[in-house]
Amino acid sequence: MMSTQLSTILQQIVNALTIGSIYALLAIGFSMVYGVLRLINFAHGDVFMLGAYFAFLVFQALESKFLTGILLAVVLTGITGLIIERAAFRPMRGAPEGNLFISSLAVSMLIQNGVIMILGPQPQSFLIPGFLGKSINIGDVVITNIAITIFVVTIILLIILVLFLTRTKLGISMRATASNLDACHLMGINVNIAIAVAFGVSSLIAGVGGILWATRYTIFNPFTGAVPGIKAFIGALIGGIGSLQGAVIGGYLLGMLEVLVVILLPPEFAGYRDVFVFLMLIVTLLVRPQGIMGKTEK
Amino acid sequence: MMLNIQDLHTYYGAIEVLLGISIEVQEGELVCVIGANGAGKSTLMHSIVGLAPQKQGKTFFFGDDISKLPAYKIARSGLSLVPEERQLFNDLTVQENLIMGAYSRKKSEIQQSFSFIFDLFPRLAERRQQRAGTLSGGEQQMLAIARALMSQPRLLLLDEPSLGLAPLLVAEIFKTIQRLNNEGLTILLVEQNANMALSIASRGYVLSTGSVYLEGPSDELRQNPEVQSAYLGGSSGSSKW
Amino acid sequence: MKIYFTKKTIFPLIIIGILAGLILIAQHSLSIYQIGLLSLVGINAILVISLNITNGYTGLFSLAIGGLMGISAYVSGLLTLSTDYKAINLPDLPQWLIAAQWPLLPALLVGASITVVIGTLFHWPSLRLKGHYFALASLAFTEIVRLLASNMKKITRGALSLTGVASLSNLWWIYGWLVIEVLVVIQLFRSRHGRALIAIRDDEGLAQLKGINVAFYKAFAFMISAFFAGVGGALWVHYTNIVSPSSFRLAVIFTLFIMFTIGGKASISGSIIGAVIITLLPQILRPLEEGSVIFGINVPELYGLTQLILAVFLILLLIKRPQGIFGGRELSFKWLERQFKGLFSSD
Repeated sequence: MMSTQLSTILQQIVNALTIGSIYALLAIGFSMVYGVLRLINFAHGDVFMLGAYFAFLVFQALESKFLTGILLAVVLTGITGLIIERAAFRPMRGAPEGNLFISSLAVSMLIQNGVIMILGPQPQSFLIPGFLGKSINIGDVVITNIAITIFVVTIILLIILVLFLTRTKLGISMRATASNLDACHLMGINVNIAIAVAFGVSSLIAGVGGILWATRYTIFNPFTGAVPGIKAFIGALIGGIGSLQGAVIGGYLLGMLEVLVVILLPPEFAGYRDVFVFLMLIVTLLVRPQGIMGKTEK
Repeated sequence: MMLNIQDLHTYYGAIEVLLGISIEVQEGELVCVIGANGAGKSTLMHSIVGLAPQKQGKTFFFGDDISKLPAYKIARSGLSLVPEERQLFNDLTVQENLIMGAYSRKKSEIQQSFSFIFDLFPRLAERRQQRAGTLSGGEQQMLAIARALMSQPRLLLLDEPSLGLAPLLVAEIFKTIQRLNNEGLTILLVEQNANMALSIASRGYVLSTGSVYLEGPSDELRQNPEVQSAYLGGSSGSSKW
Repeated sequence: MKIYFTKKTIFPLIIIGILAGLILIAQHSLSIYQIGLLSLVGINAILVISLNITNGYTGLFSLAIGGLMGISAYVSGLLTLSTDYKAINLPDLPQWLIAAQWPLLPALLVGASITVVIGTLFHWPSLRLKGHYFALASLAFTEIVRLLASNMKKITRGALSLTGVASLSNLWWIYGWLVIEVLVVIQLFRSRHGRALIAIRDDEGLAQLKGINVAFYKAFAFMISAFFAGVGGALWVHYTNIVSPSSFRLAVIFTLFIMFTIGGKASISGSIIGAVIITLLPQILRPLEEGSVIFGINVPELYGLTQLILAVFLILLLIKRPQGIFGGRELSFKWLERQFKGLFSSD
């Protein structure tokens, strides 16, 4: 028989891995876009939320099978990312960082209010297949099928991403763009395409993340993406912004941190959880701004 | 005529850096452009490949007007630049840098190029999976040249290949450049080290504050007393040492 | 700091006189709604100019303004709230605070001062950070303030908001402080201290080499900006009568940033005009949000339309004219001349 302490710890590890996976997926998107554009994309959290919304709309409109609907929603989210890059960021290529940052803030507002205008601010949800509602029990530890799905999907996506970035010309060109933009021109690389693909891929992954989030937390509203977005960004920063391994590490670290804070903090201070996340941000910025895996920028 | 630059003016903002340059390169030649720091040599290279912000004048490559083309299209038409300071993809491996060099070619065709490159630069073969940023200065220069060669260019442009390299390495690099030209590659070379440049080139241009001051066969230039005092006797590029 | 008494100083004094006259007229002839709008314009102007001091003149990309105005709003609000209210709703406050029921000016000054102290202490180690690293630190500040306001319920009532704050702001206070702020900024940026700040914005490394104590000046700019952000926050809470953690969330900061971008960096007149436009625009768009009839077509309720239009507008602005209306300069007769010439010439 497992002691209750051990059970609690294991349970929290499961939780940390679950939420950490979603943060990791989001963090990768942040790092990817920062790598190619040096842009902190404030709108990324809202694109994440769009994944859930697209799934909702697809199921409403098409009554398709679950998997098909999800795939369609993910593709739609990726396309949205491409549109955002083309319309809001490409025309500003070369502008000072501050302007890009504000622009991404504007895109975030745009997405949130667009959703409010079309669907209203009330929470939504979509139905998930029965088997996802079940769970396995190991002793006192409850592992939901959702948690397993989230973890497995994340790992699979990560593997696919790594293969894409190291084995395909397009993937390597994305890393080349992040490494040295000027040299890319000399190689005959169409940098616009490389950047657009980076955006598309990061939005695609964010879309998956959003759908996973929605299956885990059931309801979502236009503002759901903002907080996980910021947290995932902090995770990416801690792990090393611009580094994809760093993003993954940072995402899972953040998951652990959150869970740790929940365990250690007395219940009346529960609302202060997020303060710790921001304090971690400040500490990282002051002590090692390039993060765990990052290199010092010139 | 492979490369024909006619009356090139290049501006950085309000400053005119190149004041009407005309240069020709015939197929098979090794032509050099020498001149002091700040004469405009790198600007010339950037202008040719489409990286200069504002310019006037025309540049023809095999008769086609490439003056207004974006840089990546110029690269794809067969001009390959090895930039000053190499501009490697430091986070990528040697292998990946080379793959990027061959970006515009079909994957099935580039295997031969790999063999050729590693034959030319055996040291790079040893360091194939190493990140480019960790290579030594000489190896980085080799990689930069190798990367440019991966696209099988018809014209290779080299911007100050001797920069920051010890004399022994400079000699090695220039031997390689000469070998490439002997095997049929047309090369335009821009160099501060006039000695080395004129020793391997057949023709040369002397650039001075944005204009072509002298031109002619490299033998003539080497005999020219002005060139000798300004760029040759004791003032070869490696006078730092 | 020398005060320059030149023709250029007489000019603002005349402006102040005219302004005073206008306020008198406004108070007697405008409706409460219109006076309210004018108040809001004034408060926003104060906040945007505060933003401009760090982001525009000094090149410190700061998102701290949300947290800064929030601190001042809560502090000054708590000082002016009636004893009865506090006794009932915030019984755990220290006795002296519950008993306190201050007039506006001291509450505002204390609020702004505490804002400066807390803001500067928090940002002190981060001021040396570059570009967007500092921006993130300032974002963390605003978010932490927001989270603390949510959770320190015994002081702030959390999400229930601090309500019933007295309407102590009026056009005199608001525009009075705006004038003070404008004068301070003008004097500052004419002096060598101001030039130092601009030098830091243009090239920090170079400024350092020129012997400018960059760390000191950044802190200096931040403190002045924080003070006026505090002033703005205090005036604001005494106009809206309420403050809650969501009062200074990112969407609100976003609105201030639009005003800032429209006005352009380092331009006082630009900031004021930006404040005017963006404060008034939602009022024009509001009827659309609530459903209206355009050309006989029923347009349904479109909540979020105003924000959406503002967002699109900002993006277009950043693409087409990132330098804002005046491009870093002030409204002047030369500028007006150029605009009119542009209208009539065939260029």
